[in-house]
Amino acid sequence: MTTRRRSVVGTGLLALAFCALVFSSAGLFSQEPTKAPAGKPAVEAAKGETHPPPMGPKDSNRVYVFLAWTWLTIGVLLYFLRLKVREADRVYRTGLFRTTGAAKEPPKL
Amino acid sequence: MKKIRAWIYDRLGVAELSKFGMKKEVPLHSHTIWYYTGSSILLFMGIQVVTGVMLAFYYNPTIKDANASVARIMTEIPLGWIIRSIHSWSATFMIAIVIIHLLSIAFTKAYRAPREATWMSGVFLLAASLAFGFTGYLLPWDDLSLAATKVGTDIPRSIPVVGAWVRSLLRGGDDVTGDTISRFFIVHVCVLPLAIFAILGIHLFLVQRHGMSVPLKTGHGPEKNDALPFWPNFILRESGVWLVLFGTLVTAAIFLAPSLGPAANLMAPAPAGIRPEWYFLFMFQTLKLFPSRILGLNGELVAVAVMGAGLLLVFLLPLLDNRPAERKGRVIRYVAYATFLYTIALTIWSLL
Repeated sequence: MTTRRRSVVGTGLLALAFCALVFSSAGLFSQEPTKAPAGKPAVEAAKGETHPPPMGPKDSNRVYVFLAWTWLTIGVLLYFLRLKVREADRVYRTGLFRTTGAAKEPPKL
Repeated sequence: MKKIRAWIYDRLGVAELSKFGMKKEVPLHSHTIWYYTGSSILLFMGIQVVTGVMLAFYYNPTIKDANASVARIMTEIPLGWIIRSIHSWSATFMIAIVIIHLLSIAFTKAYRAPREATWMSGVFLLAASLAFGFTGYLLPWDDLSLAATKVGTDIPRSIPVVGAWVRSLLRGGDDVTGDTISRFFIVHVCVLPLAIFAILGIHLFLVQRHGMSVPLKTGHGPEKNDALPFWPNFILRESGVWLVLFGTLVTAAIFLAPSLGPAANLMAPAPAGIRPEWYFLFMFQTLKLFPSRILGLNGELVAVAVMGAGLLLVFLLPLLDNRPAERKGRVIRYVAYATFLYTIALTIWSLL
């Protein structure tokens, strides 16, 4: 494994561990349903309109953290994708992997 | 590590797949952006499957528990409301992109020979997507979904001879009851997914077989156009589109999460302002526009016949416009524009 690949794998594993830590501490992986308060029955057929859970500051913070993390990840991935697209286009222009014909004029991308 | 990778590559034929992808080319021109809509549909379909399975863990398709189980998903199950919201929004996104995809094919005349069957399978996919929306709408079993399903399943009644039977087949009886929920649930989670994956397989095979069409507007034949290898160049760009769409979906799902109405009461009158999902609004409004009697005929029957004929014309479009590719087909284009404007106008009217 080359040094570059090792550092990419290491960074990826660290990022995964970080996400797992943040998400598990925020309760995102929890499989435990919220308990109904003592003396109250579990959810029945709704008599009025049920809205998405009334989020307290803690819950809404979790959601905003999740949303921010999602867009941050998308931004980082888009940056890397852009680099990969450039590289792929460059390779295509050189015609190295083309099975038929010589290298063409580069497409206007 | 290398050995494992080599084993996986060898057993799955990754090298051959990669070669195939590099050999396959995507035409590059001013309308290339429309090619991204096709694979974006796959993204939302995948999200629908994953979130649908998660919701099915907790959903009970019975008249007693349907509404309560959805309420439980929204209030008790960790992140259940987000999963439900993503499921609901991805359905909306998917149908919107299917319609955009179909329109892009129609306006660029990509349905012409040899791609007639590709178009027809695409129309089937649109119908299956709409059926997903229709069957899924009842499942929360609230007042609105019950009333909308009553209206929707009542439409076939006006068809002579078989109308009553079709209605009964859809409802599982004379009225919308618990049997209707079970029926809609099974259709939603078993029948339609099997159908859509089968049609999708045929559609993708046809796309591979006939390749991607180059619109006439580019002004020159395919041989003069630039092209992009499908793998990795196009797929990498597509991944970017997928990421942005996914982010938009999650954002919409968080900020515009759907609520749940009170549990449906079979004896209660229909609530005021019942309305189907947005993609059925133009049909709903068309039905409302037709008077009860037209030239001595049942107005509803005439409306159903007109809409049925319209759908049939859309399905048969490649056979109606089967001229050589270089002919522009202006009449068809103007009819397509008019239909599109009519659909938009009636949808907006229905929302007002």
